[in-house]
Amino acid sequence: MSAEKYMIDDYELVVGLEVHVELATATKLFSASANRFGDEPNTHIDPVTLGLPGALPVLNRQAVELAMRIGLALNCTVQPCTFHRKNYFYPDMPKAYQISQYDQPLNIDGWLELPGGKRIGVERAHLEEDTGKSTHIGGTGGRIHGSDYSLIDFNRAGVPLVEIVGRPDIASPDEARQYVTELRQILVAVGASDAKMEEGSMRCDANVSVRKAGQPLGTRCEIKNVNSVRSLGRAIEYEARRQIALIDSGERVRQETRHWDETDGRTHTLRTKEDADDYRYFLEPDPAGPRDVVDRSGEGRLADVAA
Amino acid sequence: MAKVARLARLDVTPTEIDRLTTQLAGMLEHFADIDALDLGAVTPMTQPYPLVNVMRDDVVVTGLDRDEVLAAAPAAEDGRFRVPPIVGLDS
Amino acid sequence: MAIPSTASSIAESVRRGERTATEILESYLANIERREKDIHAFNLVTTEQARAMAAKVDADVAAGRDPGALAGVPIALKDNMCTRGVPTTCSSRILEGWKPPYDATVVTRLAAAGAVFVGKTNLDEFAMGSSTENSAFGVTHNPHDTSRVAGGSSGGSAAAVAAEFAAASLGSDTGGSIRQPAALCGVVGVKPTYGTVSRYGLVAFASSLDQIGPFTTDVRDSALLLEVMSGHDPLDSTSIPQPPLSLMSSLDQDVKGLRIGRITDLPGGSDPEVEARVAEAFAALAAAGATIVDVELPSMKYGLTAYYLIAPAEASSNLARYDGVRYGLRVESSDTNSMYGATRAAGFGDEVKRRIMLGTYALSAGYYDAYYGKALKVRRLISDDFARAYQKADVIITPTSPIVAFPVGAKVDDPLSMYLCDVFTIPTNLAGHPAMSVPFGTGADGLPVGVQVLAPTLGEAAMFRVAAQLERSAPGGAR
Repeated sequence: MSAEKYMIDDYELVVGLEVHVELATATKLFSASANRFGDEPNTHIDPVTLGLPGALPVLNRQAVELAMRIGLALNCTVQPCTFHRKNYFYPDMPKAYQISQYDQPLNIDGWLELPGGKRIGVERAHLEEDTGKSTHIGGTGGRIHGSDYSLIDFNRAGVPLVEIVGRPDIASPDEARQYVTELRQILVAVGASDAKMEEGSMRCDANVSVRKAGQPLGTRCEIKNVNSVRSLGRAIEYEARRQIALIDSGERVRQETRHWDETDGRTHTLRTKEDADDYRYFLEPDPAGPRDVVDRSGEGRLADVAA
Repeated sequence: MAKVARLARLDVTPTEIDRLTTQLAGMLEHFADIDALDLGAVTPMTQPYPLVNVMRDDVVVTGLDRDEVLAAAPAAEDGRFRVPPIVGLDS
Repeated sequence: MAIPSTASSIAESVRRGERTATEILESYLANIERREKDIHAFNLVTTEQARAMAAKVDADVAAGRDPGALAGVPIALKDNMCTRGVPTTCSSRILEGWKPPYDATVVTRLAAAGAVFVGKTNLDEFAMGSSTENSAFGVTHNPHDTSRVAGGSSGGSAAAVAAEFAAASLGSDTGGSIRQPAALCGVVGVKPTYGTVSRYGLVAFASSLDQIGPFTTDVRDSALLLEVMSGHDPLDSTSIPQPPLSLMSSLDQDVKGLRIGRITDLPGGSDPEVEARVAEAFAALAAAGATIVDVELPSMKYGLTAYYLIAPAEASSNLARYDGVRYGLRVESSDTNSMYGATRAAGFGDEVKRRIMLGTYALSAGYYDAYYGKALKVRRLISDDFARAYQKADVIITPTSPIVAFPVGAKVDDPLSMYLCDVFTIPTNLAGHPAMSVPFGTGADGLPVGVQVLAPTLGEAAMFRVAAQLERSAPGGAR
């Protein structure tokens, strides 16, 4: 096991990864439309998927099962949980809120072991619904910036996701790549997902900050739009160096979300944290979260508790 | 109040903001009656009839007809919902 | 033989072949033709669809097929219940002309039972209000005195039954929106236990408070409608996993030995005539063999506050979907964010905007604990108070509304005064219990007074038992 800490100049890297995984269920998280990739737009829609007036969510048992398998495979504590509404406006969000998990998620406090033996902590792995997909017409390279209008396809809206939040224990681009590779193998092995980054069934965001040894944590930036394992390594390396250059020249790193551009090999400002919406989380009054007892000695079967 | 209106995506004129502020302030003052209660030991009640583990089987059910749905849409193109440029929003 | 005028008698007469659904429908359509212009109960009268439904019922009867328990019964639906292909507007500009691509579960169940839908009734916009004056499409007038309101938010449905435009109608009740207009219009109105009637297809106002229920001319009809509509729905996760309610047998039982609760710390300020009618109701029940017991609900007076924090909070989230993207009104703009603000400003009326603002505020960062969080705890206190009261009493009786129908325009400038109309009905929604309003005499100016019967969760049997007795004992004679 290597005892050498990865450094760039005198700086250590502190990296936490957030991975969103689309579950391999037949239907969506809260409705019975098919969970399928690549079909004609808006052919897997129903009142719940579209957020029609009067629609109500009904939880998919298999999604909970697969999410529990992920939690157990990552050595998490699987616990009774609840769903919350995360309120914000975006055209691919049909209800203008996302049903997600907040303070009582399904899986908490696990870890993933890298090939060299180092353990990367997993803070939580919770269930939430995916958004629709927007296509931007008229701008350059299909980006929002400069577009004339956008088209929304809701086939993906409502697909079950597990969001796996890793602790900031990753210290190098290599470790990040190993983490994601290892995670993918686990997801496929337990049958939870096909976890294909190219198809979007596994998506990875990286939180990156730098510091000199012994110093407190630096300001972190979130990197989005990383579409492959290789890009992940490149993006982290680029971002770390960008931050180091700023600090070395006497400036401070601004906390913000940045977009990774594969073609020019750089990250660009997407938005600053001050613009962040207040999500006004509150308990989802419609579906009742799974509160059953999970048998941890076995494989984690869903044991129904009499209502 | 202007910030609340922005969160709720409601365009309000300055006159409306003033009126709403006055009305809501009056209501909140009335609602302050609950401040007199000792609620420390009380658990919140979110569900009138407590149900747990309400789930369904993972079986596909035919959904809505796309044409019927898009016919009711304000703007549609190419089998999809059309919206003006998406700027100034978090994703 | 006179045209039968209750849902039960209509269904029986049609099933027996004594009357056709078509002739019954035509008599109600004639009533609508005559008086609807003075009352404005409907956003839309669905004449052609109604005639087609009646014709189908008649064809079923002629062919010897079972036409259903509600065969030929003309029913009106509050315009916040999805009816496929028929505009469902919630009396809001933001959904003006919107045709849902699916039916609400209650709509499907009533249609399967042979009901004939005569139209979509007017309401306060998105069910927010107590007078139907918040409708974007005009106010509904009280059939007993058209200078007065019909109550709200289900004013149109209450008025439709009172004016004999329909033999029964459906409303929704979040804080009293069935019971209060029932009282003001002199008809029976029931809010069943939360979870007994599916909310799938009911446009959501406050998810943990909304319930669908019937308006009818008599107690028997409400029992019949609930038997048809209630029962588990897999499409509604809050639907209680139970079969449909069974209520008919309660209607002929007497009230001997039942304990009727009288709330000693009930908030005051009701019309003296209303209080007099309620006192007579207690006396009638005692004379019929019931025992009156005193109960206390010390938290009841905080119900209004809890409600006006919880309901707008849930509503602010439920109404966020009206954004001009997928359906309804869109105000064209240069970008999506502007489109949201402009569309919602143009599409929503004042009361809706007010409640969205209040709800957004109550949930926002830094204020959650002070407002929404506290309100949820007050809700628990009220629920606990009821639980204690129902150890001593089988049902509780109160006025439904503190006042009789008020003149149109009298309360529009004072939202708080409007909110006070629901002081006796709100606690029931917070607790999730059933309650119903039964007409019981008149008050000032000869206007109807309603007496409210409250029962614990799934206590509909006792509730209907007492309601049936009240109906038998009502001043002016029972129907």
